[in-house]
Order: sequence, then C-alpha cells, then structure tokens
Amino acid sequence: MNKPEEYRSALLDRILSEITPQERNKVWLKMHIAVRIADLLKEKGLRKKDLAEACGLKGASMVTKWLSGGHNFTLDTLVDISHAFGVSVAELVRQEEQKVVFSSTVVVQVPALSPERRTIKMGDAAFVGRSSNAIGSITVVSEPHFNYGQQQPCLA
Amino acid sequence: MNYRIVPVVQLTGPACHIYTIIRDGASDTAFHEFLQQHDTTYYQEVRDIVLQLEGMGKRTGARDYFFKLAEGRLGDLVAAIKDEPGRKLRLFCIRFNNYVLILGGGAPKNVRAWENDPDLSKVAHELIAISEGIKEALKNKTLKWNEEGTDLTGDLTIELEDE
Repeated sequence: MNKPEEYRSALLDRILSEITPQERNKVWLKMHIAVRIADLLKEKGLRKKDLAEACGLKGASMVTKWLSGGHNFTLDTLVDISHAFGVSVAELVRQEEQKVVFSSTVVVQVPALSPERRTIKMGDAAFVGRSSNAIGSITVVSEPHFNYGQQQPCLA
Repeated sequence: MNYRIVPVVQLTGPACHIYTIIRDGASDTAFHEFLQQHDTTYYQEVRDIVLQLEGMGKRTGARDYFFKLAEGRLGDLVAAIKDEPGRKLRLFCIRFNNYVLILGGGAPKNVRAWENDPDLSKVAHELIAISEGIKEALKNKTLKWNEEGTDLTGDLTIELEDE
C-alpha cells in the first residue's frame, strides 16, 4: 500500500491559527445541533415535515436549513424543537458524553469550612481534612458541552 | 492528466478523513488554491468553510445533510457544502460517506446553476472526472476501502485520459 503523500498548506495553518475559540464554538455547536436533530428524527421515526408541523411551520424547508449545520438557532426555536422531540433544550444541545479534564483554573468555594475562596486546577485532586482545609478528595472534571476548542482537553 | 489524492492533515480527525487533490505538475493542492484565490475577498466565508470542514473532520463527520448532493451528473459523488443565505462562495468536493471527503476547488456563485458559470463549471467538471476515475480505480482494486469502510487505501494516484 502506498503511504499517502503528506501535504501541509501554510495558508490553512494561518487561517486556523486566526480562528478564535469562540468562532469555533459557534460553528461547531450549530453543526452539532444539526446532527442531534437528524439523529432524533431517525430515533423517533419522524420526517422533516412532522418536525416542521410540530414546531408550527408549514413546510419542511426550514428543517432542511436547520440540518445544514450553519443555521443560527434562536432560543425560541431550540425550545420548539426540544418540545417536538420531548427532550429538554439541554439534551438537544448536549454533546456526546466524553470524560475530559481541562487544564484551566476554576474557583471552588467551601463556605462551611472556610470563608476564603480556594483556587484549584481542574484535574487536581485536592484533599481537605476536618480542619479548616479538609473536606475530602475531589477531582474536578468537566464535560465539554459548550467547550469546543476553548482549552486543550486531555482525555481522562 | 494524473491527480494525486493527498490528506489535509489539519482538517482530518477521528470523524472524517479529509483529502484534496493535486494535479500532476502543480505545486499546490486544489483546496490550497481555493483558499489562496478567495481568502482576501471572501475572508469570512473562507473561515466559515474551514471551520465547518474542521468540525466534520474532528467532530461530526461529513453528514449528507451538510451538503448539496449530486451537484454533478446524476450518480456521481460531487457535492457542494451548503451555504447560508447571502453567501457567495461555493466549494465542490467528492463525498463518499460520512468518513471520506475529497476537497476540490470552488468559486463565487453568481448564477442559479453552476453550469452557467465558467469558473464553477470548470471546477465541477474536473471533480466529476476525478470521481469517475476514483470509481474506476475502486473497481480495478488499485484503490480500496479499509475494512471498516472509513478510509481509502492503495494507490492514491488517479489517472484520467486527456479529453
């Protein structure tokens, strides 16, 4: 078998490097919602026309637009779609379960034990005992529902 | 004319193998030329297309509903990425399934049908010919699918007879 020839476009590298995490999140989330709608249509045995009618629309053309992967959904539309499928909006936009630990910083407040705010890093295991700095062992794990590309995830 | 199918490493991911083509004697791939030609005039559209392709490669796969299918002759695999209202730029590609996508070139679409635009027509006809060449190579088994049907293996050079 021939090994595929490697070709790397410096221009593509430049374009990708200029794209912000927010831009990536926006585009990928639209694509993800399109996939969820398509999967739910299949799962529920519905046609595009059925979904359109359940959302109070006349034809299936708007559903085709939703599935294009580039549609900018309003919250109202997401609510309509989620009602039509009998799922919550959170379930509609939820991305595949993937245990990912991000290396970003979060602030955890433990008011019962200490009034001060404690800063730990995601992925860190912190042990806090019965004294002012002890509550047990915790590991901060985030599911990246809306975090496409925001940080470099390391698979746990 | 010979064409080589080469991976676009920056866009390929676990969800889809994204390739482009390079003509014999050319120094750049068809996709690189597309970026080069339109990056300045259609800056935002180029970025959106790149992001969509990256999303397909790394997250969603090349779902059929992301594309306008059968853009070429009936039965060929040539498709165009769906555009949003107001968008001009059209990128043609060969879509086999969710897992394999070959990018060609593209141009702004100012007419209703690509057949009426010389630039788009040239790109589409080139891809139609390449998709026929790929189908022939698959038939002759010089090019094969991997066991899972998720990638192409074998000789990635496509030979086409000059018209």
